[in-house]
Amino acid sequence: MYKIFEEIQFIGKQLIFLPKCRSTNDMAADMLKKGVLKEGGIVITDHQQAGRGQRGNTWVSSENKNLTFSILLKPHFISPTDSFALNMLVSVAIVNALKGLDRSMFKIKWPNDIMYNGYKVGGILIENTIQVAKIENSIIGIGINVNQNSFDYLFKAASLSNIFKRPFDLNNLLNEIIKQIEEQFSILKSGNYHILRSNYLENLYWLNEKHRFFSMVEFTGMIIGIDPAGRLMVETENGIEKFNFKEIKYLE
Amino acid sequence: MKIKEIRDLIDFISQSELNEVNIETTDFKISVKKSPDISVNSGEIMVSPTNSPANTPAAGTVSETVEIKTDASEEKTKPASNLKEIKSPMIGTFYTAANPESPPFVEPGDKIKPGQTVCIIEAMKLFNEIEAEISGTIVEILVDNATPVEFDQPLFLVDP
Repeated sequence: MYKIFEEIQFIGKQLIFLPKCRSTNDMAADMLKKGVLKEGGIVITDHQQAGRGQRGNTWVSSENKNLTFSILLKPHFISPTDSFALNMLVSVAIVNALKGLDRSMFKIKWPNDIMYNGYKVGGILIENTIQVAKIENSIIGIGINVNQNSFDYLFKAASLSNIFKRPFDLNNLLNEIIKQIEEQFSILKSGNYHILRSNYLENLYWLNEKHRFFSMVEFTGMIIGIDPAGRLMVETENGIEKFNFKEIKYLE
Repeated sequence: MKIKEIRDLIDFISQSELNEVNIETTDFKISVKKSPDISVNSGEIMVSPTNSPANTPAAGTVSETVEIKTDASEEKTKPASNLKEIKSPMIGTFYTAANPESPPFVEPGDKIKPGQTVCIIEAMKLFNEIEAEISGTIVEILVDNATPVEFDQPLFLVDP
């Protein structure tokens, strides 16, 4: 059973546990509509049966092994044009939470995959509702591979227990992550967007390294940052190019 | 937690596919289970106060449904001359439906009201449901499904 530590300020004061469900984001959205879910509320399950990744993709999770939960935030102070800040906030928080395990190996693969040594250990799916040019609600879905041992080879995924050869306590990890989310949230709320941004870039997978990419054709380039809209900036032999999500593939 | 909230919760569960929900707040722990052989409207509810018992509702079976009232339409016909636009609040990819299998949020001829979702803009793996700020009738959808849109680009023409 999950229990939120007392030092956590507002996330998880409402904790809704579902032994199983299709997707915590879908349940959170439904509960929000019905007025059941409050700001900071968490919907968490031990068995997510049809978790969603990016549009059309599913996120496969074994029973009782992983952390799969959604948080409702109401980040009214973020304008829709700055919504990428939410991706930065959550991915930085997760990497910070995992850094106690290994300072240098956890990275954020743009826009928001959590990687360890090239293997995906976590994913984020954020769904906002935009009302009158502000972000009214943000449902933040987080999935972390924790104690699951086997993965389909094709996914290039790994779990914390794969990596560190020991089981992990799901509740401690949950608390560490939401503590970090609160911290990054308050950084952003107090207007320090630039701090969040540099925290994100500091942890960005393949930053300032030469690699092979694919976008219509194969090419060599170096990720040098992201633009305000969150587009990936890559230095190529034709100069600096910007990419939307799905316009570029990482090769090697 | 107020009785109304508990009732909403039970209503929510009865309409969902879930069999069991546990909710914990600083004040209460509530566990609701749906029995498969009981009609959908009833749910067993156990309330165990952990802190302040001040406004704890009595444990028991609640089998009330909550009616959701929808506003009666009150639109008036107006000349189609001064059409209004719904514009994109961000750069991203425009989607007319929640996912490829679902029907579009709105189609030409549909009446909309403020707060109603009209489309999704995906931006860098963030999915943004865009809600209408105005009421009226959708005249035209100006962008094709799954195509890129710019900030402030008109997406819909609305007859207010």
